Amino acid sequence: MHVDVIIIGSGPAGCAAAISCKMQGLQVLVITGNKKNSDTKSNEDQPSESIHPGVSSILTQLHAAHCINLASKGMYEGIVVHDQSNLFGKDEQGAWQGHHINREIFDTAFLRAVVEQGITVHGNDAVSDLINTDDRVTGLMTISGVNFTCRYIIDARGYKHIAGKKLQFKEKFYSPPLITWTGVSKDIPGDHFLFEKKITRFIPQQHGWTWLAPELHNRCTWTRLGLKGQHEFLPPAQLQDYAMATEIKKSNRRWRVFRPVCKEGLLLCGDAAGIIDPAAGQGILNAILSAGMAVKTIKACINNPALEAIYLARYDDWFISQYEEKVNMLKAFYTQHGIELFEIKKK
Amino acid sequence: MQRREFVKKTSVLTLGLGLGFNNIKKWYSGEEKPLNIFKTATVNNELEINVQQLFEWMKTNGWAAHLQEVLGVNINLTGDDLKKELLKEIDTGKLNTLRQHEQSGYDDFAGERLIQPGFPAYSLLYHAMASPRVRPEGIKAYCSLPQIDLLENYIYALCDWAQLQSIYQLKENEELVFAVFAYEYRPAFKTPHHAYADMVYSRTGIARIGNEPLHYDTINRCHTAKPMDENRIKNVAVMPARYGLYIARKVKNTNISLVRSGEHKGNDSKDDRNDAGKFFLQPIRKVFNNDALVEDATIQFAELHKSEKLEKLYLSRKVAMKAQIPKPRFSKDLIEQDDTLRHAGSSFLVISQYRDLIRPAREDGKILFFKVPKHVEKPYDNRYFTALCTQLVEDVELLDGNNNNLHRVYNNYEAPRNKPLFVNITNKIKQDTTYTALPKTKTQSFENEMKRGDYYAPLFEDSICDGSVRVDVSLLSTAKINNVQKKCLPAFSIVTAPDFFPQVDPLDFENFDIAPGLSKESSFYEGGVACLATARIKPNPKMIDTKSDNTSETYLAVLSGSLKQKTGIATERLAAYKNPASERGYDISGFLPDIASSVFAPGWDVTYCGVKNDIYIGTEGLGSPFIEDMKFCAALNGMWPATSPDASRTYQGSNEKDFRNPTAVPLLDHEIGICADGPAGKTHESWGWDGEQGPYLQKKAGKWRINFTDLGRADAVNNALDGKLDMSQLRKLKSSELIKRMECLKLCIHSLPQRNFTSEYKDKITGYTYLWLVSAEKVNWGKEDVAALGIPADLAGFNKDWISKKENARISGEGYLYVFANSVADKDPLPSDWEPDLKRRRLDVDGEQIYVCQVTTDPNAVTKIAWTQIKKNGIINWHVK
Repeated sequence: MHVDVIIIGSGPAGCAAAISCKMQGLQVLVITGNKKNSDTKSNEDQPSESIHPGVSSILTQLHAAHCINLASKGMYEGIVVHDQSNLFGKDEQGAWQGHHINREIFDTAFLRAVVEQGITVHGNDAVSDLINTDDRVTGLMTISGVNFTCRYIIDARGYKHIAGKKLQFKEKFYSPPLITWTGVSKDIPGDHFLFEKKITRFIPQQHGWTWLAPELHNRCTWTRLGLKGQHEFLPPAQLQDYAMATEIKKSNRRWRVFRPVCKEGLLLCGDAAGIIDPAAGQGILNAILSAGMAVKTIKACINNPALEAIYLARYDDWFISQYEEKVNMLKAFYTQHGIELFEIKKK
Repeated sequence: MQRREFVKKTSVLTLGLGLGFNNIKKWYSGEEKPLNIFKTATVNNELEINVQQLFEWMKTNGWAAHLQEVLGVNINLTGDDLKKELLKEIDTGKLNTLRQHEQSGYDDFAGERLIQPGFPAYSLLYHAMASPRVRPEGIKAYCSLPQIDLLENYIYALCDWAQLQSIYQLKENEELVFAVFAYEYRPAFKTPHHAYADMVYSRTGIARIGNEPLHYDTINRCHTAKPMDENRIKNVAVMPARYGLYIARKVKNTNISLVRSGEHKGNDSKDDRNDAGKFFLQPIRKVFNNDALVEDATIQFAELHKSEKLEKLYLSRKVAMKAQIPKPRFSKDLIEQDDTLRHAGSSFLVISQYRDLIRPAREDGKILFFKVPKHVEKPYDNRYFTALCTQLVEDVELLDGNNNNLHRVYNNYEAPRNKPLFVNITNKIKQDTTYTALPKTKTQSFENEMKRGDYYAPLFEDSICDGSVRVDVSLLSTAKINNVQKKCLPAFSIVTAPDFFPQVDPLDFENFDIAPGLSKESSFYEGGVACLATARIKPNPKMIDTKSDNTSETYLAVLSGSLKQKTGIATERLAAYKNPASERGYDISGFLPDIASSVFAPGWDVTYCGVKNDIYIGTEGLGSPFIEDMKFCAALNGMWPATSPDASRTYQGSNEKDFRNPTAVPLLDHEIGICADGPAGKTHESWGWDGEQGPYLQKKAGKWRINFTDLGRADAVNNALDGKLDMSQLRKLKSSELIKRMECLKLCIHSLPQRNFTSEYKDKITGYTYLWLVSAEKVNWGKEDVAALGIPADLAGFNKDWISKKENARISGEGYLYVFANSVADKDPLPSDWEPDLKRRRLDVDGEQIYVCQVTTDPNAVTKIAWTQIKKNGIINWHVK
């Protein structure tokens, strides 16, 4: 099977890329380890993710705004940092609100939206290798033994990123090794201060931070970040008296990007291209934005293959520039709030 | 929205600091163009001023109005407004409309802006100025080469170095070098990828000698071999090669787009089939005068050239000199030294000094003479027709094999030529200070005298040489480009024979040689397609130190500025650009190795020198003088068809009948010369490009004969000395025309009765035919009467109406009248049946084997060929196909 674009992964980046391709008139195929027709029921004990308000706007353009509503576990109108409330802005449609979402439900709903838009999804499979022809990525092989060829691949497989590994792209680190651990505390009394407003709290600490996102049903998703190897992975002090709804999940969140994030026939986007810790609040937004940019780049390359190298360089430049901007801002934010993570020399 | 602003807003927003995000929506819905994010570099003031003057010139000469009209862009602006206009994306609709018009000359332009920093080929302004296919109405003047050079420099100057590194995907601290490249801007027809017009580079440049001064043809944006002086049109102007200094990187073949051959001969170890294991240099950025990247230094080129043909002949002890010995010639005697001529802005031209193509070699004002050794056949035959041969001439480049495996015998490179292989000996000393041609007689005294040898013959010299072009990079600052090594890899410069077919390149004829799938249809018995760009042989190490350079084997490679081998472009137009028979609409004259012929014996543009297993490309083994090579190559079906004319039908009867090279690239009667004694008569008499005349049918004592010039007695050297060479007709011939002639020739050989000169081959093969093309004339069948200058009035009946009247045409469309005959072999190994000019003789036609063909390649013609045998009594019987 030959298509214009193969998308590896069906997370927010993959789904956004798939729909964007379709909207651009490109033939697209999604390769995912997920089932393409899962229902949207999910374990409610999953930790929530706070989704950026800008995501709703973009999903509307992708005809997938309903995914947020399906996955929403609550709303928030701002973030409290150091007990100082910072509300989001407003526009003609009123004040912006972010959602806490069940990510599993969100991803499943987004994939359903992809399928409903007539996009081919090759599910329950995984990429075993990339096909290279004359130093150009021209397709992939799957574990089940199917070969697909294409003009471009978008690796949107999140932090599991396959293409960067297979092509031995160089990783560039912007932080010391960082780790996050996250969980859901339950049975919190209704009069607990966390439920006073629809406010997500960001609590700086000397070598990390804690993120508290109150939800319905007296629950609170929390996330903590610290330097790797220096912690017991405990819930935040505010919630240590309450039961855990789930096991604590740990994740390597060292800030890193691949250099470059694209080559002939292949573009990385979202976490597959670059990771920054969740304090930037950019995971899903970045995934969707970079997916859109990757598709625009591919469209430009297909329209004028002669300039492919220039378009790819621009994508790479765009990705690294906006990534480094975020790095600088987040570093400044940490410094402002007394979070010390960068004394350790970068490798 | 600018990228920086966008990033700032979105990032701040996500940290909850409350800024708007409407811009995200706008961007995502395509209202913004975030791809316009490149920043430009600061340009040196002097360069800016010079460029302003160029823009003024464009306004004055109609270019600004033209661009305004076709694209709606305004280059009448100034300052930052102009810069914005230059860098913005051109209206897609207008650009596409322009591209769709083939006649516009923009159909092969690939970019999307007036200037794409760092990429002249993707800059429409550059394409407009530099592409010979852009010829809009209302234009008053075309750019000079220094103006084109200036625009190139500006385009590079605008490009931020970091951005360029990103586009080329340079690794961090990747080691780069300064290197000199020969380069041209070429329409898509002549780029390696045939996808779009592009810059094309090589580390080797091919300049050509001439007897007329440099002539730049502004509308064709190239130098031309056509002399400026219309009264000297038969002469040839020197052709320069243009060089520039570049920052370059070492890459593998997959990173670049290379001129490649689809044809590999046997196990030739020096072709391009093993490129996967080799390294190439890829130019990344031109470096120029007032270049801020190297802190505004001046680029100082230097060249060094040497001709050592005659010295090497003497040192080889193959001949003994009478008195003075030949010394090598250096740049001051060979290469133009006038800086006003050889600098085109920041690029450098290697220009041969224009002089007589060949002249007696002198030392201290005295002609050099050598003693001609007597003819011996062992250990090798030291005569090749009437030339002195200095080493064994091996049988390579011939068609060989059986019917199922026809192939070309490949070169093993076991016999390097370190001195002229062929040396002219048809003149002898006269009164110690001058010389005279050996007298030709009706007997064999001419041939016998040369066989006996033991007389002093003059040495002739030409200006063929090779050398290097380099730049003193110690003057350049590398503070901003600290990963660039501060040394310069020079370019290899070859200054060689005139290109008789400047409009034709070797690979244009690939499908007529042994290209894959076509081996049984080869038109070339000998030589065939051999393109210097596909040879992987190092340059002359006496000129360029290649000891520690693992790119030395790829000096001859020709690559495009395209970043990768695969462009992904697959359009119908691509097929047209790839088709060498396409009408291109411009005159070309390249100077990169893909327009030059590769090595053989004797060679044409170059030879291979050195020792077995350690060979290099040089010029010291070329003929003394080059005209001696020219004659033999021409006689052997053109041998190197893109550069050497095919005069085999002039001399076809001279060869042993079992090895009688038939013509492969037919030249018409007037191009090879029409003899007054033939059927055309005195009024149509002309002399061919080599100063000789072609064959004709002649009836003697009731028998048809072919009257032709004997190769041994034809004297191209003396013709050249007497100014009888005529370059004016062949230089106009284009590939499209020659391909039609070749297709028609093939059609004839396939249609006529089989007459292979070896019985081993059962199929009809153009390269093996005995059939001798005794007349060739261009005809518009059915539309115009035919001159039929090669048809004797008494060939069939009492007049030529049967062939010359347009109403008698059996086919229609533009094509040719070809007349073939098969002669008997020489009865006597030493012919004595000489014509009064003592050069021509006759061979009887074998039986009734005279065939007249009306043939066309006109796609609308229902019938492509009609042929008839001419029986003894003049009866004709047309066969149509």
